[in-house]
Amino acid sequence: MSQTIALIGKPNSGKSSLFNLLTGLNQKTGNYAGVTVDIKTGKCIGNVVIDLPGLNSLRITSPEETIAKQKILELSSAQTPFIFVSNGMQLEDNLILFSEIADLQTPLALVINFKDELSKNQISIQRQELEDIVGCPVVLVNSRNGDGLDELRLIIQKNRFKVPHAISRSLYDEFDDEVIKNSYFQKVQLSSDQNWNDNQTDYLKRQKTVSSIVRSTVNYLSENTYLQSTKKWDKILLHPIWGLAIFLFVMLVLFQAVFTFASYPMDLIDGGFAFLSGISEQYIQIAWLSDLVTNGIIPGLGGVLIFIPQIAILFFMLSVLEHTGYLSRISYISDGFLRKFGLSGKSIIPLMSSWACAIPAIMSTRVIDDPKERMAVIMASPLMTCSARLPVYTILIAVMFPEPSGSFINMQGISLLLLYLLGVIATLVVAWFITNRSNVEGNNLWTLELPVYRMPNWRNVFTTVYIKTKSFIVEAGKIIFFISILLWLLASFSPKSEDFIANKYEQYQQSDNIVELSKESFDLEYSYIGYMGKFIEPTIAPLGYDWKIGIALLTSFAAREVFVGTLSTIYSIGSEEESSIIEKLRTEINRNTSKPVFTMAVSVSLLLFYVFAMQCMSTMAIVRKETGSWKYAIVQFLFMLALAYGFAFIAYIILK
Amino acid sequence: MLETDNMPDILLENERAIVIRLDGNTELNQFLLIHGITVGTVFIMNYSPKYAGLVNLTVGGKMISLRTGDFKTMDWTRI
Repeated sequence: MSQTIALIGKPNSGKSSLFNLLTGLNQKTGNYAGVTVDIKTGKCIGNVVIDLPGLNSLRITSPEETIAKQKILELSSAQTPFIFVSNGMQLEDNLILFSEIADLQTPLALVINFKDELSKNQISIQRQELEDIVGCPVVLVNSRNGDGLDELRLIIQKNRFKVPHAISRSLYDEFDDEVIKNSYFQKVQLSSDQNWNDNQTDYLKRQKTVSSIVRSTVNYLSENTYLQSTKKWDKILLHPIWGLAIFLFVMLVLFQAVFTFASYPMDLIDGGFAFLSGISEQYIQIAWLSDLVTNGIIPGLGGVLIFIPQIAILFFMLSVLEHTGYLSRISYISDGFLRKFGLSGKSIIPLMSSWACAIPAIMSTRVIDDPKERMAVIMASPLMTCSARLPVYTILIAVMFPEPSGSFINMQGISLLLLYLLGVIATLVVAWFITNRSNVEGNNLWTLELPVYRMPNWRNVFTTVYIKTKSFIVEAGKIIFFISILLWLLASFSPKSEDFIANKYEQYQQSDNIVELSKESFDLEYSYIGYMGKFIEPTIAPLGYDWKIGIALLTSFAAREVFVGTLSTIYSIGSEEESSIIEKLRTEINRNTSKPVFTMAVSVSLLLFYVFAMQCMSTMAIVRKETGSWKYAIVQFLFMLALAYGFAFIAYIILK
Repeated sequence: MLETDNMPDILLENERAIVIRLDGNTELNQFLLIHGITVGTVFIMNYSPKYAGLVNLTVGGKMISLRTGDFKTMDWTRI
């Protein structure tokens, strides 16, 4: 008969790996605590298996553990069998929680994980004795390779779960299983963090009981050297000089990989979509449909899929760091510096990931325990200079400064460095402001468990990459795709008739205007988005921008790099080659004032606008997904826009 | 080596100690208890590099890092 079975245990006990092996599903795993933050469901031999987030105790639960506690109590009321997964190398610590679960008197099986590490460290567990004491089946498994899994499957198949002994009987006045169950159930339901003395007493008594169980069932055949090699590695990797040097080297490799390795598949994807656009333009006969597919749908899809290599490579590298245990060491090294800004070492990876792309960075904030800190990182990380800002920066810097003199240090390089630094400073200041001034509830409690160093489990690494990439395509992709088509519609249609636009173009050509314009540029001017550009012109005029820059600002809301493509269309270049765009922008004359458009003041103002403005709808989509509300995405968009406008305005006023 | 100003004693690397009193507030004490640290807990000092402002201990087979300020709220005696 089919039934529901729940996997429970402490964080980092290997529940998710075991869940994946049992159900054949692909769930993210890692070598640090708190990987599972949601309840996951799968099937095993016709039974429904639930993977619950790890928790440390039923009596004292942090906010993120409350989901697991409530679900355990709910399932326990329905006598749902539990599989308690224990880290074999931390058996005594894990059995304290087991003793609490046992007191709920629900059918149970005790799984002792990391069988391989137990034998490697010559630790022998007398399974039969342990089974007799706890009163339920005990299985030794290795969730990394599936060793021992058949026995667990047999327990599930034959429903051999047993209601365990209430092993902490000394905690209760009456030694009756039913009384113990009711008594503990009530205690757990009513427990609050104020019952400090009760909780401590309960913990100490359980610890005493569990210690005696471990002493009588676990044999250490040699001196326990389990953590020795990890400590030796830590001496190097956390060294004040070597540790920092290795950390910087690892980061260099990580970002170099994201930029270098990703460029090849990105070029392929780009080329592939350009080829598809060509095909559709050639073979679709209906003009409007051909334009929609060629300039709307295919570029829209391409705009989503082109990010896959960067996201996949970044998550592959981060996942390897996670699974080896080094990720926690990076948090350890950076904690002291980040604390000055109200953050902790757990924020370092999301912040640094933002240099590549804010999307995976925001997704990785789930490792942060403190809700206020997590919110601060989500809100501030898009201010770090992502790769999408680079094309905008390089074009505008090149417009401002002539070609490099050939010397190693030049104004172009210095400008780029200053923009990156400005992004970092803005991020840290905003994070400081949010952690010190916002109303989001937080806690100042912080601890970091440093896992032992392990070789990565490649199956789990690739599973993580697959899940993260899929999540990006499904969640953010559909919004990017939708807005891309919307932008195409706005740029392709006009409230005016074609004849009207053609007449205007003819009139312009016959006039003595010194500025030469193409028909495409005129079409854009009279399109809906052209009208929108003119509509916002009074708002952006104080920054020194005209309606054409306004259009580029509007279209680059989809993604910052669209700015370059839009300018190329508006200024009728017909090619996105940087040199031609730079030359055109340098010589561009304002039709109304007959003065250059891209002065030093306008260029600096635009650069500052792009340093601070959100201008990335996929980031907004991810913020909504991770915070569960559009409210935060909108607030973020508005405050970044306010910062962008303020800094751009000040720069223009000073430099004009 | 852990170097602190207000601790009467210095706990060296790989030395074992037992927690004899917790002087933090209830919230901190609860938090430490969640991670298996309370009165009577035996721990091993692993390391505490000055730059990090953190103390790393082995507690119940786990390597846990605490902020130095939180660690200072614990009274311990070497065993």
